[in-house]
Amino acid sequence: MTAFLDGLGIVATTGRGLDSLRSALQNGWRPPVTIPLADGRDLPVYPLPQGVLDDKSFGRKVRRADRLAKMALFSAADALRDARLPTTLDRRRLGLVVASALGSHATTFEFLDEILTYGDAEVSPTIFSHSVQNAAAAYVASVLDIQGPVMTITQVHFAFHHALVVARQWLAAGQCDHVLVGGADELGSVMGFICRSILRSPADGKLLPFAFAKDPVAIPGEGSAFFLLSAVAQPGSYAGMEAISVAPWVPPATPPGLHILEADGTLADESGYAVPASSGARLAAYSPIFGSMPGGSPLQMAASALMLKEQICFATPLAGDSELPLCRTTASQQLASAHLTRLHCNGTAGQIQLTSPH
Amino acid sequence: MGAISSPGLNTAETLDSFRAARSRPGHLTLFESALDLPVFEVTRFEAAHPYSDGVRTRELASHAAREALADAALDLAALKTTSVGICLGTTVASQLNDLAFYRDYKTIGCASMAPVKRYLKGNLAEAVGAELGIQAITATVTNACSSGADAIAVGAQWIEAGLCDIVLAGGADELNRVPLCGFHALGLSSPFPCKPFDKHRRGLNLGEGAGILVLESPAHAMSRGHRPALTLCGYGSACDAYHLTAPHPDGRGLRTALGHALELAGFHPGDIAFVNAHGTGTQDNDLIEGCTLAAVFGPALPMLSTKGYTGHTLGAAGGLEAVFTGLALREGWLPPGIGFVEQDERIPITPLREHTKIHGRFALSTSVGFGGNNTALLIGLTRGEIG
Repeated sequence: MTAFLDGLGIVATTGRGLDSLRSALQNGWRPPVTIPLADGRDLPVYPLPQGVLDDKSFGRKVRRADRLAKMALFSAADALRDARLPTTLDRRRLGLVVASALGSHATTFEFLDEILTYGDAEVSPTIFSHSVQNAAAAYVASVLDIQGPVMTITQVHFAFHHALVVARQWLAAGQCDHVLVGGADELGSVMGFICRSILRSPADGKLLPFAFAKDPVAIPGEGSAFFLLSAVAQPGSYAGMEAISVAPWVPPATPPGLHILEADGTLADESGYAVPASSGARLAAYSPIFGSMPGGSPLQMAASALMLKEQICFATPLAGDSELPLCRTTASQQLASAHLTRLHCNGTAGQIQLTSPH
Repeated sequence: MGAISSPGLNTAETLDSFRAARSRPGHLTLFESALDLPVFEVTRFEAAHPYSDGVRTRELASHAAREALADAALDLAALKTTSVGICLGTTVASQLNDLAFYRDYKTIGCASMAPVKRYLKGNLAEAVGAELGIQAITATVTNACSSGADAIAVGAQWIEAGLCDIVLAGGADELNRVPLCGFHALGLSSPFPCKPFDKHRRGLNLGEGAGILVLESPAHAMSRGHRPALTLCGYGSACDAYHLTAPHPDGRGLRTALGHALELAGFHPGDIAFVNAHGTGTQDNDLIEGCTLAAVFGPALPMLSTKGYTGHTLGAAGGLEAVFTGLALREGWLPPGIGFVEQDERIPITPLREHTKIHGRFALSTSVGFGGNNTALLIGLTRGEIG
C-alpha cells in the first residue's frame, strides 16, 4: 500500500523546522564546528544549534526530558502540527514509532557515572528511567496524547527503515489511521570520543559521499525528523511512500527522478555505493549538510519529502568535478519521485521510494 | 517454542519446574554489586563466549532460538531457501553500558574500543541471525518490559504483509548491573522473593533468559506438511500516554490492548481460558493489571503470573511468557502462581494457587512496560491438539 507523508518536523544541525531546512539545503555546504574532547583532541561535528532545544512551550511535562527525548518530541510535535489533523482525532488510532541507531547513550553514560561515583545503592532513579531506550517515545506519547501502539526500534543499521515498515503495516492492517514515525540520534561527549577513536575525520571538514572510499571520512552529526504517515492522503501531503525494503540492493523498478545516496562515512568501507550510483538516475547526497549518522535516514527523507512537495531539486553539496549525473544546481523542476539508498557493510541496502503527491 | 530462564534451560526443564512448583531465586553470582537482592539467574548455562555486555543476551537468545527451530521441525539448512525474519526484544543488549569502558574513559581519558565495536556489531536480532547462519530481515525492539511481546506482534505482521514465511520472534535479556541498580533506585526491587498480586508484595526480582517463538505462515507450514499445535490468533498494543514509569490509574492502555487482541481474533472475553499476566510483584503494576483483568474478564478468570518462577526478565519477559502460555495450552494445565499467599482486597481477582486443568483453547499473555506500553498476545490451540 501507499502511505502518505502528511506532516514533517525536523530538528538538526540545520535548526528546527522546515524554513531552516530549506535554507540549509539552498545554501549548501558549510564547514563543521570543532569541539574539544575530554582527552584534549578536537573533533569536527555538525551539532544542533545552541538553544534549539530551549523551547519551554511544553511546560512541566518535559522539564526532566533529556536531549534525545527533546529532539524527538519537538520534531514529532512539529510533524503533528504540520499535518493539521482535526482536533477530534481519535487518539487511540494514532500510533508512534521511534527509531534510533544508538539510543539514549548520553543518559546511559550519565547513569554509569552515577554507579561509579555514588555506588550501586545511591544512583538517581530519574537518570535510570531516562536511560531506558523507549524514554523518548514515552515523552512523545504522553505529551502528544498518543494512545495507539507505540514502539521503539534501536539498532545501528536500518532502524528507521524497520520503523517505516511497522508504521505502514499498522496503517495497512487498519490498526491506526495515522502514525507518527521518525528517528532521533544525539551526539554526546562520550560518543564524540568514540567517534574520534573509530572514525577518520577529514582535514578540510568535507564529507565526500561520491568518493566511494574504502576508508571514508566522517563528521558526526545529530538530529531528529518525524513524519505523520496516513493511509489516506491529506491536503498538503508531502509524498507517497510506495516501497521500503531492507535487502540486498536492487535497482529501482523505474528510474527515480532523484536517487539520493546516504553515504556519510559511517561505514568502514563505502565503495559499495558505486553500484547504486551507476544506476543511471540523477544523483544527490545531502550528508554534507547533516553530518554522518548511522541513524541519519530520517533527515535524508525529510529533505526528499520537502523537494517532492515543493517540486524543487537542491544541488548536491560538494559535487566537485565528479562525472556522475549529479544534481548540481538548485532549481524548481518537476520531480515525480525520489529513491533513497543506505548501505550496510554486509551488502544489505535500506531503500525507500517516494513519489510526488502532484 | 524455545525458552531458557531460571526454571530451566529448555521448555522440558521449565515444565518440570512448573510441575514441581519450584522456584530458585538466589544471590547474585554473575557480577559484583553492593546490592544484595534476590535474583533469578540462569545457572548451568555454558555460554560459548565469556560474560560481557550484550554477549550473554545473544547466547541466551541463540540458545532459545535453536530449541524453537527444533520444536518447529525446522533445520537451519531449510531456512536458507525461505524468507526468514528475526525480530527480538531486549533492553540490556541495546545499550552501550560497559562500566569498564566508561571507567577508563572517565579516569584516564582513553579506553579500549573493543566493547564499543562489540556493541556496534551486536544488534541482537542481527547477531542471532549471524550466529545461526541465517540470512534474515532483522529488527530489535526496545520497548522496555513489553519488548518481547511487541517483537512477536511485529513478527506476525511481517508474515501478514508477506515479507517473511518464517519469523523467529521473542525476547532476550541478561542480568545486568545497570537495571539492578536502576530498579533498586526506583524503589521497585523487593529484598525478598517476589509475590505477584499478593497483599504484602514488596516489588520485583530481576531475572534473565530468552523466550522465542517460530511464527510461520499457514501456506509455508502447509507446503512442508507441518501442522503447528498453536496459533497466534491476535495481538493488541496501546500506550497509556500518561507517565514515564507509572501505569495509567485506570489501566487505559492495557484495556485497549486487550480489546484489540480480542477484536483481531474475533473473540469475546468469555472465549479466554486464562491470562498469563505481567504481574511483576510491584504495588502499582499488580493493582492496575489485576483490576483491569477483572473488569474485562470478570473476577473468576483463571490467572497467574510466572514471575515467581523467572523473576522479571525485562525484554525477555514477553517472549518467555508467550512460550509459557503456549506450553500451558499444549499441556492442558497451569502451574500455581508462586509467591501469592494473601488476597489484596483492592484487587478483585485471584491468581491460581494450585495446578489447574485448562478448560478452553485460547489464552492471553499480557506485557506492561515503562513508558506506558501495554501489549496482549492471544494464543490458541489448534483444533484437536488439546493436551
